[in-house]
Amino acid sequence: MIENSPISSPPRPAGTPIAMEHHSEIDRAQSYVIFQLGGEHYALEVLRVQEVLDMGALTHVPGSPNSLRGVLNLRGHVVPVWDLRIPFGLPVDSSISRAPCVLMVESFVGDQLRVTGLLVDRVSDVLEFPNDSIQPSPPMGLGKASSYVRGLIRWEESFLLVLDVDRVFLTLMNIAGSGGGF
Amino acid sequence: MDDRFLDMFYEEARELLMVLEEGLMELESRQGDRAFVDKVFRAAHSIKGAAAMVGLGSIAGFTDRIETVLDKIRSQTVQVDSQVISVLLEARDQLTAQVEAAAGGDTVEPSPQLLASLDYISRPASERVQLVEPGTAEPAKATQEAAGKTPPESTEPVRPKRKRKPSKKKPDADESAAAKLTDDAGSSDMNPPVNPPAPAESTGEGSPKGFRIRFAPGREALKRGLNPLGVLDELTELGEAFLTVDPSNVPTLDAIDPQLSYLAWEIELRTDEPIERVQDVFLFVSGECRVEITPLASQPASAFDAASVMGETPGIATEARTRLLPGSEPATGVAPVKPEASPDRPADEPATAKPGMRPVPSSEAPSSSGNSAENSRLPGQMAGALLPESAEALSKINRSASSRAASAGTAATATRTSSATRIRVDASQLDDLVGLAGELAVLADNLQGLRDIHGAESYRMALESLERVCRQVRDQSLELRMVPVEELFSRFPRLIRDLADKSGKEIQLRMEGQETRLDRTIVEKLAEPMIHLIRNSVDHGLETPAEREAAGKPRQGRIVLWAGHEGDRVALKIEDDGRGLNRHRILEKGIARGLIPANTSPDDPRVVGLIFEPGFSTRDTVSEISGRGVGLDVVRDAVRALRGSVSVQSEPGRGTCFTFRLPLTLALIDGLLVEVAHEKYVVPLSQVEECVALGGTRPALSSGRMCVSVRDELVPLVDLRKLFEARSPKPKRQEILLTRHGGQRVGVAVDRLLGRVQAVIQSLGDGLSHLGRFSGATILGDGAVSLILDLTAIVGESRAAEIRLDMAAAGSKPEVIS
Repeated sequence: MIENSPISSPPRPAGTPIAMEHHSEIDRAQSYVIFQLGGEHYALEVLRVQEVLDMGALTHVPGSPNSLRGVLNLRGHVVPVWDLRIPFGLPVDSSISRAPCVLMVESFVGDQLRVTGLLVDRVSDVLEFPNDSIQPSPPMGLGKASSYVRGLIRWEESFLLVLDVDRVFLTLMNIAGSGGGF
Repeated sequence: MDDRFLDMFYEEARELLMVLEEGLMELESRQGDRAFVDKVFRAAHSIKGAAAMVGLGSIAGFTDRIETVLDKIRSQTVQVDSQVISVLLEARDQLTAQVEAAAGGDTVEPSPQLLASLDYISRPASERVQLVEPGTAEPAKATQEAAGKTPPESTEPVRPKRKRKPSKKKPDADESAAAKLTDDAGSSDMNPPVNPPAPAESTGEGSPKGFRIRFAPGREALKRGLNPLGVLDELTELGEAFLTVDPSNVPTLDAIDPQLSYLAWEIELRTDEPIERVQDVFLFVSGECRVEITPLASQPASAFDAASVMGETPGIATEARTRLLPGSEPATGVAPVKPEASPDRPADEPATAKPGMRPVPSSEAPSSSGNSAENSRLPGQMAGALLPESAEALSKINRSASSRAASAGTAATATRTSSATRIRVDASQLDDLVGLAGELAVLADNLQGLRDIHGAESYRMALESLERVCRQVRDQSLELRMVPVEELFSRFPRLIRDLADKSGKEIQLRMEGQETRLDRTIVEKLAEPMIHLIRNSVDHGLETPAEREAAGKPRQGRIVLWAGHEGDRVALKIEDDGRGLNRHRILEKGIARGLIPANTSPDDPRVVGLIFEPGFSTRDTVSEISGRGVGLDVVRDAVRALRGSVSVQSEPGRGTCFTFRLPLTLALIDGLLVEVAHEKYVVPLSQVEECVALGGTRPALSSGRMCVSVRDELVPLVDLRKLFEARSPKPKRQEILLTRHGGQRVGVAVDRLLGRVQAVIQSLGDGLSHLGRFSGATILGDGAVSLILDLTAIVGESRAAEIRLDMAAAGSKPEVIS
């Protein structure tokens, strides 16, 4: 059950079960995908990221919440792509000058593996950090994003915000379920 | 009995037994986690129900014993410990043995020790006595016992072959049985057991066998609804059949009555199936027809029944299954033909044919089978007091841990070998295949467009072949998934008859819409929920004949099973005309359990929905027919897992109706590709009655609503551009799709019609399931994702919006109204 995956393991192909992150204390370090969103740097466990795509053609879904940018064809599967800027309360440039990236993130709904696209400004790096380098995040000062951050990692001259991606999904599903909001 | 049901049951049961085993293991490692208790309980409950339905009473009865223990665990009267789990796992193995034995037309009774153990563990731990047994186990024997103990061999009335000292081992309370199991399983995987597999396995041989069947339907057979061709088809499915028709009784042409049957057939059937299987084919015809079945090649009786052979390895099991079943030598007495080849047969196999008798398995065999030896000490042992007895049984369980592993493997082996004509396939693989086949067909469609390109003429033939093959691939793979609801329904008449017998109620069953086709996965998964609901209807819904007469109803209660399409969903209904749900009782219980506010009115629509809550049962007694408060939550979960819904309507005194609404989870739809504001959408062709150009008709307003006049009929219009809040300018010409909504024609305006497409429906995912206007998405030939419109939902949605607008308008100007 526990996947002692080597550091800097390549993203797994779709369908490979992911190890539960709660066992991560067994590993002493984790690799994180570092991405930028609204000027902040975020970190997301590399194990959760299936792949990173350039933003391609999206099919708009009329009537969907604004945070849903559309759906795309990921090798024959229809995958929804959400814009993190909206739940994070960041301004949305309608003119997409910089080409954003789509993080394909895996999650389990029941025992079904789901892949969901998250739109971010830029994916910059994959870095490894020891687990004890994660500090608790301050309760304030991050705005709307604070509820999606489960910790901070000191990095270069600033901090990386460790994304609690399951909470993000939870919010997105709630937004969608209530049929309105964002 | 129709073997289809039995086969279905065996398949289901094997799966459930796996679930049961996994669940028990998890239960142990998670110290009685409630979720696993429920899982295990449901598995047992489902096995019980299914077994009762196909008439395997002893299996149902034994499962009930297991369920009783699990129920006590659920109610926390019994704490889960490794001892309890060991006994339950042993019981699960016994159950597997019973199921596999039944699959081979045999029966196995649980050992009294096991029953005693089950009783023993169903007491609270404080009442149990931890026995310290002197360890007299002889390792070799223990191993032998464990290895040789393939469950079905505990089959027959025990005939001691040899005396054997009871070997006892201290029940190992500290070490979990599960852990032991894993160890033993591991080792038995690597090395063959100390003993060779029970002799049963080595009796296989490969001579061709089969039956010569003479089948002469009675003159009136056709009038009575016999379909001889169906019978012949069924025979053909059993193996290789050579048919000879005997037309000697056909009269001259002018004397022929087309309603009578004149033909007779002689069939040489080469098959490995037992004669019972062949006889079953004629089960419903033999009354009026002459049927003679003679074995082609009779085999000296080998002492085992096919399905009672549990292979240690698939190869062996397969071999064992290819043996001809002996016995049932018909009176016509065609002399047994000498087997052509039986190289694998051991020389010491008893060569005693016993015509006309059922084969006597296992215990008569020259068996070193540990199990018969083990059972042989039963009579003596049973004299002992209950507690030592149980403890002894427990110790046995620990020893036979590896046999448990072996039999776990057995279930899978048996599944693999049970039928050559059916293969069980992972449903998701099938899904993928159908999806790919659909996309292939779409691609081929697209390629067709290239034919007209200059210079592509030479590819024309190839393109056409490609398209044809693609369509065939797609149709075939789709066909793999779709089955008529009849496959689901056909098992219920029997169920209802049995239930009626048991409950003393008179029940009339009506079934409608059985030709409705549904995804196979859905049909398979719906069986259990429907059984639950039918049981509920009989048990709780319908009254006794006396009660019904007193209430002024016909004595006979009625249950209607209905299937049909509702839009692009399939609806299944289970309706009874019984007493209806007791709203007050439900409400009371719901309030007591805090599921609903205390001041809720009994007429609140939420009330009846409470019956789908976990553990919600207004019956406090346990009945054989339906349950102990499991059931409806299981039903709801099962239907939800199919992305469907279940609802209930009930009228006091008039009856209850459960409705499943199920999506066509995976279906290729014929669709129209349309364009709205530069996006492409697919509309199911089934929802479109007609397309007309809007240019030719005048948009009109009728009582404030957009309408168009189509051939002098005023049709309300829904503009998709408006609904989708399109900002791009409206094209000069629009097209209207005419659909039907609540019996009325409604037009839906789109910008352009692009043509017909075949679309594989994919779900939009959980986050968007509330968007009823799209029933899913599909991938077009060019790789773009296109949403599939649900016109019914769209029209409904825009109606609702209009009503809101009306109300808002009315609210702003109340004086105009009043």
